[in-house]
Amino acid sequence: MTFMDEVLGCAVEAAGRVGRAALIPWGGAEACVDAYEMAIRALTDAQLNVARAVDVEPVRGVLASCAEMTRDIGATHLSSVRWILDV
Amino acid sequence: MSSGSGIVNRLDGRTRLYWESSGSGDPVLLVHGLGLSGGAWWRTVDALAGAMRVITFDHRGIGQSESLTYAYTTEAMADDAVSILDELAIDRVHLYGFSLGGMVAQQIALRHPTRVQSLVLGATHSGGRRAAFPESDVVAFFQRRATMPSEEAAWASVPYNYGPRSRAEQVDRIAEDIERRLANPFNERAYRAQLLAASLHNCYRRLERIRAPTLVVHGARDRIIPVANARMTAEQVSRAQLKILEDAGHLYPTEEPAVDEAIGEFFAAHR
Repeated sequence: MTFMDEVLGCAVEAAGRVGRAALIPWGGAEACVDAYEMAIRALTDAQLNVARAVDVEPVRGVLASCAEMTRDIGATHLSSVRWILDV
Repeated sequence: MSSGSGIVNRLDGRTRLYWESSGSGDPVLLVHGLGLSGGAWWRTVDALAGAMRVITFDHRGIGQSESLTYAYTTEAMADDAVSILDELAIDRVHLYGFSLGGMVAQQIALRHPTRVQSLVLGATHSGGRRAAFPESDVVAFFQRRATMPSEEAAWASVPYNYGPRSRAEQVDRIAEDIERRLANPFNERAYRAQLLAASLHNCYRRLERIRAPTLVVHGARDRIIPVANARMTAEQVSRAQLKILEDAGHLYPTEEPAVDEAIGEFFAAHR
């Protein structure tokens, strides 16, 4: 492991400790991350349901693309946050 | 044996997913690894299709599948797989994911738990901080690989993909793999997007939520995804069995042909 890897590892560990402590009043880090994940899923599903209901192109395509972006950007957030908070 | 193929068009109008189906019986969905098309499962399809309906597909951007953008996540790839099940009107499947496909299979089991009858996770990891990473020369090779000509890349991958016994004794089987792989066009941008999806994958803590019976299979000589990952995954999934193949590397289906039979028996035991 290089010096920079060690520094980065320590920084992530410290950020995780701070984050976990800060989220205790809201039920803890795991509950908060799970709630964020559920919100992303609900928002994605809602956009997809509207896209299915709207049988007009290009509106349907734009709505479906927005749903995919919501899911993928949310997934990237979640992956990073789970890494930092270790939940 | 019945067989068929088709295309699923996603709602965005640009993402198209190619699938193939062989055999009849309980359905099993095979989810393949980095940069490979569904055709890479040919050995496993032959082994399982005598007793099961075997469904393979090309991930977005690979083979005959297309995508709107080259920004993937394992979540997106999991939803793609489920859209194929929807198209085929299949409620529940046995699910077998290999390498990157194993990460996608974890996401399917977590995001769509009612669709999974049983789960096999082959040569994969669950991501997060605890994942055991490959040595630096392996990482450097796979970053360099995307810029190499296809045939050169396929042969240069051999020391990373296969264990030492296989490289000495199974040259013909390795050559068959490479011939099949070269028959499918390699998409550099999709490969890079899949690498990013794999690096963002992080399911470790949530694996304990998987309720489907699970079999974790891994080669002890795997240099790409070290075998420590299989042990961590099997400990974290509550109903997991662990099968370590002592002489095998990453591409164990080529190196240990009997493993497909064992996996078929696992599916049969969890109908």
